[in-house]
Formats: sequence, structure tokens, C-alpha cells
Amino acid sequence: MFSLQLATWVKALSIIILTVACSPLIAQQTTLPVVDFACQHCPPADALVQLSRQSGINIVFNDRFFNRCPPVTIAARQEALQTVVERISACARVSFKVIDNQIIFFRKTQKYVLSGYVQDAESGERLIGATLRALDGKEGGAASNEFGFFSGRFEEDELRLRITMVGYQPQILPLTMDADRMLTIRLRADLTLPEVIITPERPDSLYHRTLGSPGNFQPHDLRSTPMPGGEKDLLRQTALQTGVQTGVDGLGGLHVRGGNADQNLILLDDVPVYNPSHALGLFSIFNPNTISNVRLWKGDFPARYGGRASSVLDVRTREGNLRQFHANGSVGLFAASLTAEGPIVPEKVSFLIGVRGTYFDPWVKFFSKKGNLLTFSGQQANYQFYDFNVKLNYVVSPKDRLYLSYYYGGDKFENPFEQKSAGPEGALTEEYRLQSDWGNQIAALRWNHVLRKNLFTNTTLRYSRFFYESRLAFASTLVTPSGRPLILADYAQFYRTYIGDWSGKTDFTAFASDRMTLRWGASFTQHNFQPGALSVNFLQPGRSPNSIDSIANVLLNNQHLAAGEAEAYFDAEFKPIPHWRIDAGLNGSVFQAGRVTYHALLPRFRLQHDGERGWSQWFGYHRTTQYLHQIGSFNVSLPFELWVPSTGKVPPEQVLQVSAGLGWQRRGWNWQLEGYYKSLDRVLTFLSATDALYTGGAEDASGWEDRIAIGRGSAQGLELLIEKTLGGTTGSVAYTLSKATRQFEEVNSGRTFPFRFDRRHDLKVTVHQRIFSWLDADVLWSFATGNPITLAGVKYVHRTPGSDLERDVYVYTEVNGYRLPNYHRLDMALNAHFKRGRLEHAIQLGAYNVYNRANPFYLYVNAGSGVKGSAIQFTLLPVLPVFRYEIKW
Amino acid sequence: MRRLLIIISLLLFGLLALQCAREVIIELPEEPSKIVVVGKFTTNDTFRVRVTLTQPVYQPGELEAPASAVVTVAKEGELYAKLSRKVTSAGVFWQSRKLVEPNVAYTINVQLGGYPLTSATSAVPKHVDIEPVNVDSDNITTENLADGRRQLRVPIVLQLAGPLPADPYFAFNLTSNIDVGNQDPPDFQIEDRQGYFAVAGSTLSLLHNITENVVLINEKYWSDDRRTLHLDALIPFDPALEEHPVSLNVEWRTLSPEFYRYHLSVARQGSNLPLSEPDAVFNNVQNGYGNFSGYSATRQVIELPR
Repeated sequence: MFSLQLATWVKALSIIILTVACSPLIAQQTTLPVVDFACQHCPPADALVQLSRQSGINIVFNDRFFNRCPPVTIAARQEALQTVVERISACARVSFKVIDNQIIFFRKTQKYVLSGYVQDAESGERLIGATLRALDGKEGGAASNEFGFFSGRFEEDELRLRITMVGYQPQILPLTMDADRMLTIRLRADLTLPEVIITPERPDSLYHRTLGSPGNFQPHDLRSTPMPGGEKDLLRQTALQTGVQTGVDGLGGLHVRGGNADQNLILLDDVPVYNPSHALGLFSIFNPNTISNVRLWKGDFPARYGGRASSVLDVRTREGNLRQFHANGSVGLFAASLTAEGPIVPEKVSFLIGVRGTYFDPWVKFFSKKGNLLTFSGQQANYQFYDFNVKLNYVVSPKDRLYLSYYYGGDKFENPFEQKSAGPEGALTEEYRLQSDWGNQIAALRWNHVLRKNLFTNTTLRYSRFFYESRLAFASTLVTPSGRPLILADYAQFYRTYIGDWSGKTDFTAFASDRMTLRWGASFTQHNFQPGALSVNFLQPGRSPNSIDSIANVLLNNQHLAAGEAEAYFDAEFKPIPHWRIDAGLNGSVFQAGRVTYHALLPRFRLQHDGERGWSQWFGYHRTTQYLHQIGSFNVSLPFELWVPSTGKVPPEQVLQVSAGLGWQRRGWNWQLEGYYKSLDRVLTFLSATDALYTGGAEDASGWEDRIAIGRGSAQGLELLIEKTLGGTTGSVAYTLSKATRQFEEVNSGRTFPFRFDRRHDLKVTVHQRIFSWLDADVLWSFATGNPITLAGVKYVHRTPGSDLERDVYVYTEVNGYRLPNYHRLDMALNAHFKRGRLEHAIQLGAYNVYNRANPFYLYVNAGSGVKGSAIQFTLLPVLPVFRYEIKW
Repeated sequence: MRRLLIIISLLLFGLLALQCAREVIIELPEEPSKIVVVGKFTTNDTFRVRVTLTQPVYQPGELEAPASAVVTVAKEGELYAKLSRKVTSAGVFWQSRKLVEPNVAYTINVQLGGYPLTSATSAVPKHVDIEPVNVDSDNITTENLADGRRQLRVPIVLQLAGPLPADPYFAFNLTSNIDVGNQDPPDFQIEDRQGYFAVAGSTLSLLHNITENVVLINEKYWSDDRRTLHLDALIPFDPALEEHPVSLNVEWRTLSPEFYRYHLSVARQGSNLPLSEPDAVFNNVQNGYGNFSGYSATRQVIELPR
């Protein structure tokens, strides 16, 4: 029975194959007559009509085929009709077939390359992520890359090209593709975007987003979300995404899908940033007025990104206006910023300068008064942060552009304290002063060059440095009743840790065909580390150390480490059939520190299907490795947590992630459901918090390799995102169900325990309501399961017989065996924006943590209180006003 | 604008009324009281242990030692000694009459009404001694201290005499003997005054002060096949009181794994800070907490030049 069916199928298939294969042959075998034909200076279309009448053979063609042909002169005698037709139509890119005794013309398929840049019509800034697509059912499309460059193949024809980008008015560009062309496309900002009503004229497909990775933010996304003090913040905005978690109130760094904070590759203009936060994580270092585009990959990131294991946050700054001078000033409750931009040579050279500073002192003093964990003795603590961005953009030629960008930003903390007391022994004066400075310095020089119409290169020289320095001085002087001063203590120390990179990188992007884009490149980075150098001066008045080398005789540690990291990658974006896309790549790297060399060759793969009715499905698999580590043991991201390289004793971290998702988008709605599993191997932690403290400045960092534990971890989760992106009311619901664990042989008796930023449920709801054309309201509610914490249950006194030394010993639950109460918070703000003459004003007014939820930031058991269950709970941010005034001219 | 100012003022006023730290009542992960056994032992010494009970963290003070506890030591599964309760000015403890033998595993058992049998096992480890410590008098220096005293700095090398064992658990202690008085013989001698030491930073980070009069050496110190420990013994003395250091005493201990792990973890927990992950304390007591562990020790006395 089966064999009979098979035979029938084979027979049917053979007939189909034969028919298809032989059809041109059958067509060509039709006999055409021999004709005499003459025509003097005739347009080809007229000549064909005349020939058709004369021969009685129907000739089918489109007038437009011969629009550009010059008149022809033919004098044929007894020539085959086919030959005559060929002579008449030779001027056009056409072919013909004889079917059923008719001659039918077809346009020959010819494709040309359309390449160029997409830029902002007003400022001349290049735009990232704009899409170009041929309309009217014609094939062809392209997207602008991270430098605004695009390249695509389009059929020879009269085209209507639609160019779209979120935040910009869609543009329809009529274009005649009769040769390779290079264009600069200018898009105008669409300030009315949130009000767009879906009509047949403005199909919602204009606003289709790529579902899955990467997540894209634009600067206007930051504009309206209420944040503490009204300070726009990129990292807080990032934390609103599914799968991205932080500690309480933003402290503790970003943790993407159960990864450590140091596993995020955070790039500022393609340069890695080692410390992305100010104020221990309350604010990010990115001046929001200088940001052009942000992309977040939570998992399956392309092979061109290497060096970190968990995620990529790629931040690009603006280039500066090539045509007009503009400035933007902003004043909030915590900080003020000023940004200026304009042409140095119009259309040729532009600049962008951004400065931001804080006036945080009153707040620090306020928190000190309130007995917060940030309490500082004497209430004289002083804290500031500052940023400085500058960018120069030089259009060397239509094919070449140079960028120079520089960032310097840091934090300063000072806590002086003086206490005087008097007793029978005399007058005692104790002076204490702690000064800490930390920050980043980042520079990049980039050269974009269009090598060929479909080959783009970018070469970058990069420098990135993060440093932390602290000076601590303590002096105690007793003036005896006789007036004799006695120095009881005079101690000073200087501590420094830094990591500094020099690197060079070249990337190539080849738009090989309209189905395939290839990227490849290589980089080399020289890392330099000083993992915790300490200089101490005891009992030598007047010789406080101000630098590591100032009193080398008491130097405890001044270790310098160097490491080289070379990387090469190959990425292919391939669309084998309509609606299907494959991103596949390989990332190879070699790392050398001292005599130790590590290498890795790691695959990245992503398969995506974008269906007809707005449905998308995707699957990703990627493996990454990380040669640099930031090791710490605290529950906040402290700046003095060490950056160290892999060494003989400390192997590179490795991560494997598998993810799969399903999404749908239509009429301004989209939802995505994505699941992931992540395995982390060789993750690091200090064996003991005491060790972390030592490296943190109380002691030097020598022997750090011997003080860490190497373990593994896993993370799995399900992320659901529902978004409404069009209409007067927009918003999103982002929910993550996740579990992240760690396991170290030396910790928790080798048993698996929850990752310290593990949160089972994480929900963020945002609503943006347009009230009037000049006023809108924003509401953000977030909920998360409390962070795990380790708490003591019982205690006993340790004292061995015969010894006078004793200590309370606390018996803890499992590591991270207790959960802090759930975290939830409501933020609200009204945003008004209006224009008076050439000035644009924006005011944000609202409140952070509206119902003053006392979210526990830290909690410890109140030992010896006598009250069962008594604990001291610290809250970081109570209800805070949100206020920001911005002016733009 | 006026309304705006009013709103901001109200918000700021509300803010000032807030407290960021407060006492809350939580459901603590509490567990029932257990017996705590704390004791160390070494060759040719008696067994001495303290027996107490755990108590909830919030409870102040220390619970009294349970007088009715029956404490015995077993050797190879057989009863070896019964410990009797002693009440001294230094506290209450249980002590045996029989002496500890080397290289024998002992199990201590504590029976107390209402509690399960609590036991712990350890042995005096095979001693790995150090080579005789030599002092080069040319390298000894003196320095002034801010309080008017002086300090002798004596470079010494502690070198393992035998091969590095699989469990390199060691501790040392430095004390000094001080003659007082300028006469010969001196007026009197202060014996075993606690000394200090100075080492390179990389070594210092692997030395731990514990709740015993010894400095514990982290096992990772020996990870690079090191067999020597260089340090400067610091001996403070007061010339105004006619003090003269005469000898340096070096005590060298080989620790059982139970001794090493417990004391290292207790020391680490004692240094924990807020916001840091607390260190769990090693426990070798079944059905209870604490530590019962052996060690072996030798002592060298190094004469110092006058």
C-alpha cells in the first residue's frame, strides 16, 4: 500500500519537474515567421507596434520599458521576427519570451546598490536604526548601522522608498534606481508621535519594532519617567526592562538575567565603562542630554561584542549640530546640567559639550541626620559628582568622518570629624578625615570610512580608566594639665586601585546582498591594573601619604599587573527565505596575563521568524567568556571593589545562555514572552567579606588571588512584556519570573544558595497619559520580591577554658536564606512642555515613592534587644520630590 | 509659580518628618536551643571544655552553663574519661584527669536532659615543627615609639622542618621575656609578655588574629610551595621603667582541621561589616554548636643580645 502511494508521488513529482524544466524549451520551439521590416528613426515602442501589425504576431510590452531609449532605424530583409525584435529592444534592459504565439516582454532583473547615511534634518546628526523599505510590493530594504550608514540592493525601477525611525516622521522618497547611488536621507523629528491615530494612510507597520534583542531606547524615553529629584537616568530606565534587576532603589548595579554586575559590557561610544554609576548606583554616569541611542542585549548578543559574559548596553552619544547652535540647560533637585552644540565649520565640523554637577550636600546631611546607613559622623559629610562630555565630529569627505569623544566624571566624598573632650588626664582632641575620589576617564577617536558602496569600516582608538583613591587620616592629641601636648596617635593611609585600558579596534561591515550582511573585525586591548595599593604612615606627624610612592618605606603593596587581550569576530546576518533571519557568529579571543594564556572560540546564534500578521518567534544560543572580574562581597556596588584579570589561579568566567521567545505586534500594541536558561561557570566571590574589606581599603589587596572562591551559578526565567506604543495613553507592563543561584565549594558548606539579587517576581508598570498637547502625566509602579539576605538565628559565646578572649558567635541561616519584605513603590510626575519664541521649556513635577513605602535596603537582627523578632531596618529613599526644569534654545 | 512653591514646600516638609532607620519586628528564622561545646586539647594536657547553650540573637547576656550536663570523652569508641565540672573565677568548665595522647581521635559526648546527645571528634595532629630560629644580632634594630617607649625589631625566619603536609594548618605566637631593673640579677623578670610582628603586606593579608593567643596562618600562604615565613618580631619595652628584652619565645602550633576552620571562620565573622555577606562559622559538633579540636605545639626560646 505504502509503496503504491510512493510510486504515485514520485510519478507526479517527475511530471512537475519535467514541466518546469522544459517550459522555456517548449516556449522557444514555437516557430516565428521571417519578415521584412523597415523603420526610420522610430521610438522602439512605435517600432514594436508597427512590427506587430505587420507580422500579425501580438507583441506585449510596457511603454515604460523603452522610456529612455533613443529612436531606432531598422532595415531588415527576410530576417527572423525574433532577430528583428531583439534589434529594436536592444537599448532597454528587457527580455522577451514567445508564449502561445505571442511575444511577451519582461524587464530584466537588475539590482543597484543604494547606500548612504540617514541623518537628522535639523542637526545633521546621523541616526541609528532607521529602516528603508521599497514600497509597492517591490523588493529591497536596509537599515542604518550605529554610524547612520546604510547599504541595500534595490531593483532597477522607479521606486518609492519608505524611511522610518521611532521618533521621526516617516518619509516616502521617490527614487529612480538606474545606477548605484549614494544618498544622504534627512528625517524630521516627529514631536507628535504619541498622538498618532492609526488610519489606513498611516499603517501601524510603520512603527513595527524588532522584537527580542536588542531593546532600543531613545533619549525621549528618558524625558518623562519620574526619577529621584527629577534627574533623568539611563540605568534606571534600563532597569525598567524585563530581566533587568537592581538592588533596592537602584543600588547594587544592574543584574541582567541573574548575571553579576561586572558581566555587563557597558559601552560609551564603543569604549568599555568600568563604573557606570555615581553615588553608589543612585545615578548613572551618562549625561542624558548627550545620549543619542541606547541598545540593550540581555542575552543573545552578536559576536562583535566580547569581553563580558551576560549583557551589552551600547550607549552612543550625539554628534553635535552641524548647522545651528543649540543649548540645553536643566536644573533638578540634585543636579544641574548644561549642554551646548553647534558647528565649528558649518556642515563640516561640529562640537557637543555637556557638563553636569550635583549639589548633593544638603541631602547627604539630611540623610546623616536621619540615621540612615549613609550616616556620617559629625554631619559634615560632603558628597559631589560631576560629568564632563565633549565630542567633535569632522566630516572629512562624503565617505570619511572622524569623531573624537571624551568623558571625564567622578565622585568626591569627604567626611571630616573632630571631637574634643576633657578629663583629669587633660584635653583630648581626636581628628578624623576621610576623603575618597573615584571616577572614569574615557576617550575614543573613531574614523568611519566607506570603502565601497557596500563596505563600511570603522576604526577606533580607545582609552578607558577607572580609579578609586582614598585618604584616611586620624590623629589623637592629649594636652596634659601641665600644657604638654602628647601625640597619642597619628595615622594616615593612602589607598588606590585602578584599571586602565588602551585599545585599538577595526570593524568591517559588508552588505553582501539584500539577504546577507557580514561583519568582521579585530581588536587588541592592553589592560593595566593596580589592584589595591596601600601606603600607610604610622606615628610620623606631618608625613601623611598623598601618593603611593610618597613614603615607600612603609608601602604595604604596590602591585601592578598588565594583561593583553586580543579579539576577532565574524558575524553574519542572513535572510535565507522571506520572514526568516539568522544571526550567526564566532568570537575568538586570546588573553595573556604574565605567563598565563587563555583562549576561547565561542559561537553565537540567533534564529528569528517575523510572520505575516505581526507574529515573531525567535531562538538564541550564545556562549561568552570574560577575562576581567570585579570581585566584591557587599550588597551594594562599591567603587573600591577590585577589577582584576584572570591569572593562573583565577580562570576566566564562562556563560552559556539559551533563550526562546514569542511576540506579537499590531496597531500599536506589542507583547513578548521570552524564556531563558543561563549557566554561569567559574564565577568569583571573596571567600569572606573580611577579605573584601581588606581589598576595600582597610588593608591592601595583596594576595587577592588566594582570597577568592570560584564557583558556578545558574539562572532561569520567563519574561513578559506588554506594551502600548501609540495613542494618547501609552505604557507597558514588564513582568519577570526568575530564579538565580550560586554555588561555591567553600561557601554555605558547598550547598546551592540564592544569588543575592535573585528576585522571584519583578513587575514594572508604566503609564504615560497625554492630557493636553502641552501636558502629560507619567505613573510608574514597581514591585519585586524582597532580596535574599543572610540573618542570624541564634548565638553563643565562644570562650575556651583558660582563655580570657571571647566573642559572640552568630549562627546564620542558609546563605541568603531569608527574604527581605517585598519591594514596591509608586512614582508619579506631570510633564509640561511648551514653546515661547525660540525657547522650549519643560517642567517635571511629581514625587518618587509617593506612598512613602519604607522599602528595606538592609536589615540586621537587633542583637541583645530582648524583644523577639526585633530587627533594625534601613530604608534608603523615602518619598522624594521630583522636580526638573529644562530650557532649550 | 506660587502654587508650585507651595507644593514643593509641602513635599520638603513631609520629607523632613521621615525616618530612614527604624526598628521592625520580623519573623526570625529561629531554631530551638542547642548545646554548645567549646574546647581545645593538646598532648600531655587534660581535656577542658566549656558547655553552654545557644540562645536567640535578641536575648541579652549569656545563658548559665547547664550544671547537670554529663561530659565524657571516648577513645576509639570506648569511654576514656569522665570530665568533672569546675567552677573558677575564670568561669565554669569541665575537666578530665586523664591526659591527652598524640595521634588519637577523641570524641566528646555531652548528655543533658531535654537535648539530644551532642558529640564532636578531633585528634591532636602529627606535629610539623619548624627549624631552630636563628637571630642575627647585626640585623636587630631599635626604634622609638610615640609614647616614649622603644621597640626592638628582630627579623626571624620560621621554616618548616619537615615536608609540607596535605593540610598545612599552622599558627604561631610571639612573646618575650623582659628583665626589669639595671642590676644583675634584675629586680624581676616579666615572662611571656605578648609580642607583635610586622610582615610584608602580601603575608599580612594571610595572617589572622583569632580568639586564641596565636596568629593563624592561612593555608593559602603555603600554596606556592612556600616553606618559610619571614617576619619581624616587635618587642616593645620601656627604658624609663628599666626594661630590657632578654629572650624571644616562639610558639609553633600544628592545628587539626577542626581547629583551623573553626577559628578562621570565627575571626572572619568578627570582622563582618554591615552590607557585607556574613561569614558562617565552621561547626564540628553534632546536634549542637561550637568546637572541640586538637593541636600540637612546640616552643623555642631565643636569647637576645643585651
